Amino acid sequence: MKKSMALLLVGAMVLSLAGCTGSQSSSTGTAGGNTEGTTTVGAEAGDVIKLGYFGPETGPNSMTGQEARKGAQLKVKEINQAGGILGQQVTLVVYDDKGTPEGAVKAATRLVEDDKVSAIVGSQLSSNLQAAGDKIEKGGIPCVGTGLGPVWLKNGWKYFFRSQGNSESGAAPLNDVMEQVGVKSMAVMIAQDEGSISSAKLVTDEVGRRGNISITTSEVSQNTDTDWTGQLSKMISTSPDGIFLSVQVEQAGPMIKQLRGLGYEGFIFGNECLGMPDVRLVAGDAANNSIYYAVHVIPDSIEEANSEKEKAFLQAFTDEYGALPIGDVAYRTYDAVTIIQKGIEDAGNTEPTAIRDAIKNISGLEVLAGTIDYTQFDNGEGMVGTQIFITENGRNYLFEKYVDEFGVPTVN
Amino acid sequence: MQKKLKGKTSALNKAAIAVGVFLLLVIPAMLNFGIVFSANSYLIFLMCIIMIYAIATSGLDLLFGYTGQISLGHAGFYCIGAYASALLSHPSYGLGKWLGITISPIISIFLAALLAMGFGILLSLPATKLVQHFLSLLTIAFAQLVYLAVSSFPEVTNGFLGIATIPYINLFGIELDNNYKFYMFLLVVVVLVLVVKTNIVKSRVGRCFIAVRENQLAANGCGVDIRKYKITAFALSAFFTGISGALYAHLVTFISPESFMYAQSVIFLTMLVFGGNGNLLGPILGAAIITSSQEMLQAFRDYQMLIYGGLMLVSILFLPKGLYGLLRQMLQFAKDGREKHVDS
Amino acid sequence: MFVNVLIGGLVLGCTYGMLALGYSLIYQASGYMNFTQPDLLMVGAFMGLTFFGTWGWPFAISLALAMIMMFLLGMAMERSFIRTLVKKGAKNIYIVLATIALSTILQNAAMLIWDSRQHSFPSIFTKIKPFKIGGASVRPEGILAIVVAISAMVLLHLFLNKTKFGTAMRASAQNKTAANVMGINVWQTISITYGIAAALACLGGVIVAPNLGVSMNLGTQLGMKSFASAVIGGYGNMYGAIVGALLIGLIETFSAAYIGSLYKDFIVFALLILAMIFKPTGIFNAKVYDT
Repeated sequence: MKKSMALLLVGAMVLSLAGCTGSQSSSTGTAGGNTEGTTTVGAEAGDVIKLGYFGPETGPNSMTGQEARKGAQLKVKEINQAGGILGQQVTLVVYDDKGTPEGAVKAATRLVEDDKVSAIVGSQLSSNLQAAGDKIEKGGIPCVGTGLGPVWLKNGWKYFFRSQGNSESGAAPLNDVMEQVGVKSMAVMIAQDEGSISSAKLVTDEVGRRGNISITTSEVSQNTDTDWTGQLSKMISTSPDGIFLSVQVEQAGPMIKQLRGLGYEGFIFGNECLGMPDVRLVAGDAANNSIYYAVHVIPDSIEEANSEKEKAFLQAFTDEYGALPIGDVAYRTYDAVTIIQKGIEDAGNTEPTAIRDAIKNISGLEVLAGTIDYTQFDNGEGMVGTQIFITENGRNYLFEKYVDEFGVPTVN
Repeated sequence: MQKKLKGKTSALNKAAIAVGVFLLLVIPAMLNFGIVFSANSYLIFLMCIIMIYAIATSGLDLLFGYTGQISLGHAGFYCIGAYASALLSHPSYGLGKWLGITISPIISIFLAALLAMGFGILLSLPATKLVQHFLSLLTIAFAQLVYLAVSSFPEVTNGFLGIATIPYINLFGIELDNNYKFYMFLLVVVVLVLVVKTNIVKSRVGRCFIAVRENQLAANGCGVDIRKYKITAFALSAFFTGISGALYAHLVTFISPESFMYAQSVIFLTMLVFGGNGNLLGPILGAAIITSSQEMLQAFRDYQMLIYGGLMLVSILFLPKGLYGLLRQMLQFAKDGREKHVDS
Repeated sequence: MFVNVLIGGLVLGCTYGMLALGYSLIYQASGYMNFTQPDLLMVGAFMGLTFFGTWGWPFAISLALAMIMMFLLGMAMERSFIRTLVKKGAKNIYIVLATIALSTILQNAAMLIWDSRQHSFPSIFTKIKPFKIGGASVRPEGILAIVVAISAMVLLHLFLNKTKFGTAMRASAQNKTAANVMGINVWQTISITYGIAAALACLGGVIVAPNLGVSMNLGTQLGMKSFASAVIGGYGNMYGAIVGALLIGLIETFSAAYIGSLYKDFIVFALLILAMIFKPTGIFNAKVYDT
């Protein structure tokens, strides 16, 4: 009796899974009663363009993951309100990849095979794009990824694109500024996650190439660390002119606070994570004297936006969600949907490979991040261009603008 | 009357087996080839994950269900299995990088499992002296150490960048490069694992495990070398979980330390306790239910984990024998009901 | 640099110590391991943040109120979940698993009530400036952490060993039946123990929040190492919890500064495993061997 029951039960499991997934796919996107950004406006089955999205809704990156999803959903809503694409309404199918590679593969498999979406907006976690990439590439679905690490566009995949410049383009301008303010020696802190490791490598490689700055020591931070006294003390004791922190937003605030608390008053350099409002919120005045590269920073108010386009986006975001975005990932996913929209319009149909070909030929598309031109590169990159910002007096300035107003800040 | 009952149940038995086989073999085939259902390899992938977890949990069952030793660190063996197999078979890392040779995944999986077993023995040497709580503590520390080992030595394991493009398993010339092929392979592996487990459990070794679980003093008195059997249990348990880790690596073809943190050990134990320990079916049920519920809960986004925790709590409070125990109870009621009816 | 590292290590150690005290307390007074401690710390920190930071109440009142609410929460958890399991005669592992499930629930409930962002806890001592010890600048909140941890350790030890109630708690843990016979209301005692442990976690959370910030992962970040601290010091011993924690805090910080930050966690856990192999009873000799 037992063995047969075993088989029966496990088999029943298969059936139930089939049943549950079947009903899932028709309701994802507006599931669970969450009404942030309704994604279907008057859609009828068969009349709808399906786009996919996967990202970390839960897990350690959930904060930025949720912002990213909001950005994408906002754009989809705007598209639908304007009449959709090619006259059809758009649905965004959302999956949580839980921030793990396994989750990414599961989500991507569902999007490619179960929901059969026409295009995908990919996770901001480069490692998840790496994991899921094979599946998406084999499935022939174009994917505009929002992770900044260069690695996932170096696999020779033909269906992947990026919605803004990758972190490589920040290394050179940052080096320029470092030399400009008079840094001759630097200590480095690298958080142990793929994004931080790759951006640190890019910057330090450039430093090595130029040979003008010496790196006094390179320390490491685990993502469960809460106290960096040991590492920071060591870094400070080498008397560097500048300290480079390649860490995620969650760690940046507390780390900067501790760094200042140990008496370091010099420049802090970093990547776009230093531009997030949460860093200034947590670190307060300690965040002053930070210089970092980013495609854009989120202004403290809508009026301070850098362009009309950004103003409109921020206004729409605030209207929809009640507050300014807290992560620039929202910009990236918003742009990703814009890019996909153009691809579908240019292709004239929703066939994935046709969309991919159309996207490949996009040039001169204005998005929040700047101008996208995929014809310039052959690997899916669409933009080079990062700017340098400085945090002083509790706010972010474009470095050039700051220099105009206050002169070049220098190492003591 | 008894004979009549028996005749009925054996027919029922056969019917059940037939249905079971149909569900396990035919439906995935239909899913894969697009017959009746539209082609969908997501479900098949999910089934593969379930089976891998089932193997891992069955391993844990040998240690906990049968021998009564708690391990909150089986993610450590899972991790060792995955990384060892990846490093042995990948052309650009580990053996491939330093010596220029790679080992075929089928063999590397086995070697990785042996390595995991080795660590299991190493761990159990001190562990078997400790009382329950400290045993689990040691297992937690062990798993943490394994996690730190693979994340702190990027020259070997590539740290948090992970190891990508792990080679597919090559079985007599057939590459297991899609979910369906892997699924069929896994079916065979699971059957093998269950057969081996049954043999262990029914043998003298298995009875000694149970003796250790039930009453150590008495077992000692009967001449059972408790320590030896605890170590054996650890070793076997580590072996199976190591195999499942290696299989995972060759299925997903990308591993990074994040998949092997403490939470994974908790998932294994949860699956075992929820499904029912000390038997063949429990671990499989547990793996299936937990995995599928995680997927089904996706719809609830923010509330996912909260509901998940709640379900866990409820099942711990009210289903101590796990799902398997509940089902047996239900079967018992049904049987009693039927007997009553036949009697009158 | 040495002074910085030393003080940093001590403060970090006291941070771990607050949690470690909770672990040892529950074990000494009920015989079970409780995995909800780190998350109770996190919830306590969030509560403190809301009262003191968001609503601007005076610090002392915020702390007291948070501790009282956590005390009640701890008692409620014990009464509804732990007691049900114990009364059913469930094996220890089920209780441990229940606390793990509760831990998940607490974390996600916190995420829903507050959010998943990193928050800053306002300075408690706005009038006192960081002072210098041997050339290193130390924040008053850091000193507070050390003072509170050591006081808590001494007070708890005295409480458990010198007061009637404390002795009742230990008796209930060692042998419920005997304790009952002696007229101790065992269930109530255990309830109160859980409440005290929760309040202790809350105190810990509020004390370390100014240094570390508040986020839903605060507990999990500290949890592992606090556990290790309790073990190294002798699981169940109050002095052991703090001494073990200080040891780990110092080892961690010194390893990061002088050996290499990549290996610091590895070193800590390797030492933990060695300690468990060669001296599992810890520094203060707890009971760990199997019959």
